[in-house]
Amino acid sequence: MFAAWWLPRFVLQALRVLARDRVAVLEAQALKAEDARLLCVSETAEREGVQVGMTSSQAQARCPRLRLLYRDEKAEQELQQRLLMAVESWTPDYEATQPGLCVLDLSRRRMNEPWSDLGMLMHRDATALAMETRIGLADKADLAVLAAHVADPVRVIRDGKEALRELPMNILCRNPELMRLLHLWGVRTLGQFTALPRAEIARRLGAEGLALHDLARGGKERLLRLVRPIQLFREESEIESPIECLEPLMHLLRGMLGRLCARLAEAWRVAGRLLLELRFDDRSTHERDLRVAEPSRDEAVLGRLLETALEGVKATAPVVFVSLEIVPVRAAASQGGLFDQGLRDPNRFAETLSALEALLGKGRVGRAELLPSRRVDAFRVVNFLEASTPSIEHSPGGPPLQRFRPPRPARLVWQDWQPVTLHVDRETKPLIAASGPWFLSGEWWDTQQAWQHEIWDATTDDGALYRLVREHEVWRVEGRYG
Amino acid sequence: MKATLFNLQNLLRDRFPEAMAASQEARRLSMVRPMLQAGKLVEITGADSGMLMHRFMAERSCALIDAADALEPCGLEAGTLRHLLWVRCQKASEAIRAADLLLRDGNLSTVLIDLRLRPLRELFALPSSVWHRLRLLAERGGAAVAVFSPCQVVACAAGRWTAPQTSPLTLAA
Repeated sequence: MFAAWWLPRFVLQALRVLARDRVAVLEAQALKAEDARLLCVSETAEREGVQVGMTSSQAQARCPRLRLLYRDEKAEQELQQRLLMAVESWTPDYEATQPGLCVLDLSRRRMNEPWSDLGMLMHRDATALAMETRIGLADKADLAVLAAHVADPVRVIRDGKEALRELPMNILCRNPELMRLLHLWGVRTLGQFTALPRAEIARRLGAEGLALHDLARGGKERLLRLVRPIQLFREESEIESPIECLEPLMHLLRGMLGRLCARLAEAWRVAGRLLLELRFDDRSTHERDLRVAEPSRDEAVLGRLLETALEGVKATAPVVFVSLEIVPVRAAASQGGLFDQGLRDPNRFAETLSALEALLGKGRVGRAELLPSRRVDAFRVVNFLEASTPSIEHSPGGPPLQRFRPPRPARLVWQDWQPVTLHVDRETKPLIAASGPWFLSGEWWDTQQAWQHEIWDATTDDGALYRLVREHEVWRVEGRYG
Repeated sequence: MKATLFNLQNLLRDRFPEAMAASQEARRLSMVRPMLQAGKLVEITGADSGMLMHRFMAERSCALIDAADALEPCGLEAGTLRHLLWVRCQKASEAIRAADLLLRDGNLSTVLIDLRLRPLRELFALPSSVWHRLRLLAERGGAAVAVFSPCQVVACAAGRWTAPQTSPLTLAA
């Protein structure tokens, strides 16, 4: 048995509008208020000829005392949450079909009372939570939804085909164009619609028509898309005696990891990422997002990962707050990366990368990814264990260049438009050959970022080939080929 | 007979340039592979060994410990960029510590240490024990280690090659 809870005029209910008010809700803020279309209309306004889909000017022409409101998504979310809480008190197996409509699977519930009494109890519960509801009860989920649309306030449909025959078509069909077409055909009720040959409906109305036809006959047996609460694997702790060194902090974190891993085991999940947040006494914070290379719920492995990441952290004040969150993944789904499989021990490798980063600094260990620019050093270093993104098209060629970072300031002596001597690092190097200039520029559209380089390649008398670059009238040796 | 074979090779190169390029690449790799052996530490001296280093970097599961932060990523193939672990150091001592960590880790099969742009004084100041330790770690973990240096600094290297001076390089007109 299924029960459907429907909140008629859900958008208006979210705005807490009284039933007797002449009110209409507009979809969103349009450029011109008179162009905005009505999303929902109160019963009183509807009686005066105002309909959903009208522009606000059309509606006000029919009902001058009409009050126009804008939709409030936050209020709608709150009302939806209230509805879900109410249905959850009846059964854990329910579907949030759409905003303002839930279907409850009551097959696991022992039924001692008649269905109509059960519906009345449900209605009383909803009213106590300040929700105006219609309750439909039936053998099938879709049939219960239809019953809710014609309930006042409760409707039980046991013999689907007979009961549905007299229901109006508009409870089923929300597509205004299709409704207009059906109206032209003279189809007003579900009974008239189901009397039409199915093959002809398929030919004229396609898949949408067939779906409506099935619903009009009481719907098919279907599984509900059950709402399951999102489990958050998070622990946090306010520390009374601020922590000043790694040892007690790790003791605290290992305790948190133990509890979180136990919860992960219950949920048949493993840790894919660790999100760590530390707050210090001076109100500064430190956040880390650690990817577990081979997802696991082994406390020792995760503890080592945290410890390695924290070894390089320096703070000016003691820790007063710790928060640790685990992003869970399914163990089987985490084996997709080809590279992960290639490593002997991915978790140990992740620890080594963290240790290298602690030794050398952020952005100094990883994979180089080129950026779409011709500028010098147009690349970034990304985490080696992250999935690689498609690289920028480039055509490496010529001898390898060893870059001087930073470039070395130089002075050139010229003769007949050719450089003949290079002064660099307090040394004087005669040049035996030089080739250039090549001009390279970019980001000319931005006066702050625009750059222009004049490039020469020059061979010194000891056989070394250097790249010389002039920018803003200053010469620099950018690297050595070889 | 030799002349006929030569003519046939030329004809094939003209007709199937891609296949010839592939076979030339395979021949080049077969020449350099013996230089990198699992569990061995080798030294390659000379400032112009960049081509050789780029060829080693094309190996999968490879790390480059760049002691002078001198690598130009634009000069590498997209495939190499995707699987190369680049460790950017500022000092020779940092590079040695990074190599120690990676060899102890044992996940990568090839570790290249580029010391070419470091001052000689800094390289000679490194105690010889560090090279013995790296050699032992390479042997224990089965990783192939190549040290690129401006001159001979690794006393205990299992093999040593000197890259020929290729300059003056042909300059574009």
